[in-house]
Amino acid sequence: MNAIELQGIRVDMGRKSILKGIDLTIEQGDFMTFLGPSGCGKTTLLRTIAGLQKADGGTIVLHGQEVANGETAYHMDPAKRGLSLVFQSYALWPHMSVYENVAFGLQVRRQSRTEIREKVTAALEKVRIADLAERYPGELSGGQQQRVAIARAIVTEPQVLLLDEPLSNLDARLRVEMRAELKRLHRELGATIIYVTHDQQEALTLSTRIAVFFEGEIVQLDRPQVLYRRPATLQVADFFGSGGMDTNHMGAELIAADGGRVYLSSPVCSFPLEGITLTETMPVILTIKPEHIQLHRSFVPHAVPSVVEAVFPAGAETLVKLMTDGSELSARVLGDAEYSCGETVYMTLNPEYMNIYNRDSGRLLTDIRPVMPIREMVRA
Amino acid sequence: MSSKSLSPISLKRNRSRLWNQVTGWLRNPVNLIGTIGLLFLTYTIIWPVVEILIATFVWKQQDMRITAAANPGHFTFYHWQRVLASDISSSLFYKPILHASAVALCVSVISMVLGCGLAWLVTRTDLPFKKGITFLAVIPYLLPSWVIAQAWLTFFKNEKIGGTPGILQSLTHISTPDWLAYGFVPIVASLSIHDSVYFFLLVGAALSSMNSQLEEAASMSGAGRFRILRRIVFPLMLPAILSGFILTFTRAISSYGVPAILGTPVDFYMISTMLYSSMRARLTTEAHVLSLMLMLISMLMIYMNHRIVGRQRSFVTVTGKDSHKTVMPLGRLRRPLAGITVMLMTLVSVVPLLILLLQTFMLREGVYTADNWTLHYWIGGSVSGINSGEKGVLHNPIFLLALRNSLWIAAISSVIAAVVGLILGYVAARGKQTWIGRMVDQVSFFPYLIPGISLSAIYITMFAKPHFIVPALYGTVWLIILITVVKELPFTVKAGSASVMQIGGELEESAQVSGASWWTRFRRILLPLNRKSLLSAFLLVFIGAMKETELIIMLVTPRTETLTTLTFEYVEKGYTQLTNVVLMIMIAIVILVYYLATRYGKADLTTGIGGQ
Repeated sequence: MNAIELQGIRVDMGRKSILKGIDLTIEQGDFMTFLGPSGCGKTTLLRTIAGLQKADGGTIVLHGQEVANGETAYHMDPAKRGLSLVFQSYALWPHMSVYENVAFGLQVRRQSRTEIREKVTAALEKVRIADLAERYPGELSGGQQQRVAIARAIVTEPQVLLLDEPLSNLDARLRVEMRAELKRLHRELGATIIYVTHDQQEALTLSTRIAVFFEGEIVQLDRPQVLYRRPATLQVADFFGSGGMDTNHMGAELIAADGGRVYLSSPVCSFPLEGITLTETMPVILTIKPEHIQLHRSFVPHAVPSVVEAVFPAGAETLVKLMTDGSELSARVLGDAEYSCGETVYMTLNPEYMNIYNRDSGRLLTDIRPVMPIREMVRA
Repeated sequence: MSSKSLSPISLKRNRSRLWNQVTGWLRNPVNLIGTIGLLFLTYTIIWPVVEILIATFVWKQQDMRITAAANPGHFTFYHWQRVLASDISSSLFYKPILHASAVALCVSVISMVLGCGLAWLVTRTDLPFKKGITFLAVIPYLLPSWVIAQAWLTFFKNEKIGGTPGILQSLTHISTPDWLAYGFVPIVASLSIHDSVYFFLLVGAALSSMNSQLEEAASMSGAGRFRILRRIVFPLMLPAILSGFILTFTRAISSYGVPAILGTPVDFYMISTMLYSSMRARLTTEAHVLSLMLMLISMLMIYMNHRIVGRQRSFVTVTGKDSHKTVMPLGRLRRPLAGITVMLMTLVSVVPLLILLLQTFMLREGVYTADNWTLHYWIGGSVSGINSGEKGVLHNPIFLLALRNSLWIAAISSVIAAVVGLILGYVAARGKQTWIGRMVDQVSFFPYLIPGISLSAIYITMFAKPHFIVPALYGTVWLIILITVVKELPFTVKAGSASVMQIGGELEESAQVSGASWWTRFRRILLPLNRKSLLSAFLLVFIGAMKETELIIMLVTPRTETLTTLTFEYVEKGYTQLTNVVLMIMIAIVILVYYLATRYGKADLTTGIGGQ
């Protein structure tokens, strides 16, 4: 059975439409991530699923039971939905100790004292802070508070666990550590997790599936690997390209040659394509990630000469900015490669990793493939 | 589906949609509590005012005695005309309002200068003895405003109204001039001393929450000290200063106790004292017209405040971080300034109390000989020659009744007001986006615009007879409790909503997701986290109720006598020493409660005083 089914979820705030009809099915045991820039509606959707926000349209079905219906204005109380939510701010009650914070949900459910003690201890052990039970939230570090918030959420054994940007308030090192923790918890609990974040790397690392949000709509829903390789629109590609993963853009054209063959023509490369028929020239945008550009010190077949503009060493990898025929490209090289500005290098681009987008609609041209093996990769 | 043909199925759907909408709306605590709160506020605030307004346009039975034109039950402008444009309107309305406005304006200006100056000295300079000065500054607030008037009279009284002359005349044998003993000057002086504490607390709180890096930044940009004060500090303090101004103005213009003691003997009437005597003279409808005029003035003041301050109000924000503070060194002036401040503060807050205390031990006023000392007024029995045989206070059953009533009223109404304030404040804070939240916020502010004496004039009429399910409350302490709670709502709701606002909504939401009902959330999350604010509101109302005069003087009956009304009765009868004994006991209680609440409960008076 599907854990969560959303159909046509709409949420308006005043005149502004926050969510414009979300359809989404989440399977039992999924680690689903809502990814998008701030203000795209991902947190609103999470709150709508939790029941803290009313849906103005659409239905939500949790484990086969309808919990919200915008058309009949039906809205089930959050408490009855059998899910837990970890807030971005953790929302730990400052006047209660860690133990009391975690025990609260069980006390509300009127469980026996011994049962509560067992469960709280188990939850605290699961997040590895059993020794902090008597402390107060004010006495804990950010990472420890985070663990308390998670313990509080899992202690009631919810079938669905909602996490709202839980790592965004942590420093970089802790964030990486907590990612591993979350992955382990997902495996151990076997619960369905919905995770909201604006961090692409977090999303790629943790999720089994990712829904990318823009302006109240899901623009792409895929496995992380697919999302990484084939962003459905330029917007998604750019969003994934930000934060040190800049995607290279190039203006290019699809040219219909004699014999029905279609060629891609760009400033840095051109090759034949299959899976498309054309009658006239079509303007497109070509993208390739910096890690899919190889640099060579000397000329190799099909290589394009370019000039080094700037070098950004970052320890394990080095980002090299290049200039080729008036277009600027970035290449990512493993290790602390030494390049100097003004130096000429030769780059090869693997067409396998290139994506071609319609320039006007910004959509990925999905069926196009380079003709394999590439025989005629030539300079334009 | 076409919109015209409604099939049975769609009808059923529609009904369940409506049902779901209504239950969903009511399940939101903000809406449910807001609705109940709004009903309460409408019944206790809006409706009485409307009823009174209508009553002023209707002929009364007793008008038949005055004019033949009276037609009971029918519409008329007679009462308004009588107050505003008749041969008695000069003495009934214009003179009192002129006096009241002049007094209120002078009091506000003087309080502003004193209060702001003191606040600046205490928060922004390296003045020594800050704690002591702050405590001295708060003392006048803990007393009924007319205690200072009483002390003034004890000191400056002359033979004009009979009785023993004041200390000054007894010592110097020079007759105190009338202008110094009664009327405008002493009224302004007494009220200013009492009301400057509002400025002190409001502006002091605003000054200390202002980050001094703002000043330093201006100083780095090359601004001089005066320019910084004018361009940075003053605009930031403007909302607090204006709030203080409005607060003191509306309080002063409607104050009753002080003008009753210092003005009435020489026929210096203010609106409030005129209202009281109109009420006593059975000119009820005319009294209501006066009430409405007084309310109108208060509303105009508030409206002007909003126009001037506008959205700047949001300037005074409290951030979670403790802002960095640098104080200005006073240099050579440090010690002299401290000396002068402490001396002045002692003069206005401690000396009056000492004078009054001293008097309680004197058998006859103004006679400073050893054989005149006595404890008669504290513990004596009935002696026919003294005060018509009124017993010493501690043996007087009337005093014991008044003490019990006072404590009972103050305790009950402060607990109710604090809790109601927190609950309505919750609605106002959490429902900021909804009409119901905004309505609760605004309507609960309304009693602020109704002067206490007007409100009680309205309540007498309203609760004299049973109403719906509400029994006739007149003559019971419950009426006094109700009016105290209602009158303090603007402060308690403001304090409550400010405090709820500081508690992130997520703290509550996470409890909600855990399955806690609203009551559980309120009890286990909101109440403990708002403890401090709740206690402050309790303290504020308790002190307010203990010293309340204006609000209840018309409502008490012999059975519901309180300490303040008892003292006021003694004042009117000229039992000076007995008055002072009761006052001393009352003040002792207030100071004790204040001390306990601030010491053990970490209560803070400033949180509620804002009113804005």
